[in-house]
Amino acid sequence: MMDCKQILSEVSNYLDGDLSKEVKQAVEGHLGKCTRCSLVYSTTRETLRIVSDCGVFTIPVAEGTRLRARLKELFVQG
Amino acid sequence: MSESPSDVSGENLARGDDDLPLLDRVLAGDAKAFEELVRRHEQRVYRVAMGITANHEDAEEAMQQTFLKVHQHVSEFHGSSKFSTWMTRIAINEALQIRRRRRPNVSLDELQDTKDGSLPKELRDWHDNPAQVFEKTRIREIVEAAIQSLPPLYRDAFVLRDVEGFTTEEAAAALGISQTALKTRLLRARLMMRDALAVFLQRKPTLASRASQVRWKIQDALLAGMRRAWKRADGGGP
Ligand SMILES: [Zn+2]
Repeated sequence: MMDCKQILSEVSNYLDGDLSKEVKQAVEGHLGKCTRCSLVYSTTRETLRIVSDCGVFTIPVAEGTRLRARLKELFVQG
Repeated sequence: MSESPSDVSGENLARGDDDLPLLDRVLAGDAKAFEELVRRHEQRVYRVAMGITANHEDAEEAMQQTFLKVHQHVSEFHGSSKFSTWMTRIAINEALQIRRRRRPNVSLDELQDTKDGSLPKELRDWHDNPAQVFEKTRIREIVEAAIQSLPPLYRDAFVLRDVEGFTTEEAAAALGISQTALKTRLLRARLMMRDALAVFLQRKPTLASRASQVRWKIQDALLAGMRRAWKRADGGGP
């Protein structure tokens, strides 16, 4: 039997579908019974969804313009 | 600002590398083509550079260095990977170099602080739809601050896997660590990110749970009052 600590150490691999069949079953069995771990799992999954949806570190328009101007300058100088 | 074309080219056109025609023109010395190449990929390079350096000025420097390197070495690109992957690896290396120069002490020691198995602190359910609670830009600010607060070695793993969408294998290779190490760092990073976002996104305690807390407080107060009364009755002073 895996305890909460062991289950949580597999949460990340579980999210990636990167577990053996046995461990995967153990994780799923535990998540079905343990509110605490299943809350950690669902909110971690939600975390990844939010991160990939929110367009993190979007380059400021001015920054792109400045970069291209600077590169042009450098190339002209040789 | 809408997503730059680079994001579309990177994720949706796995077959065929649509940078190749542009690269041919770059190799032929077409300056306009290089500018177009920069425009196409500056978003991705900036994201990686910010993710690794967590600092605006450093990211800017890394970006410039990356495109200079790309320009110098573009003839060495032979298409064994997609061009965007090749370029992103250059960006990762430039950003890591700048960070090492700024913070030579970032080391494995930093990883010892957070032992496995520490359970997340905040455990209430989250709002179903964060967009109803926060504006989109506010959510982005929260996420960016959370990423920037991660220990650098965890942040690298998180940025490459969960922001850039590298596979475990690609991310481990780009960082020069084993896949096992990558997975361990990613686990810690994801749980830390979860903790950081939980502060903002979890539901307030429900009325029922608040009511029971209030009941407990009243009972505690009553008990304390009774104890004081008993003490006085025993004649044990104030
Ligand atoms: Zn559990």
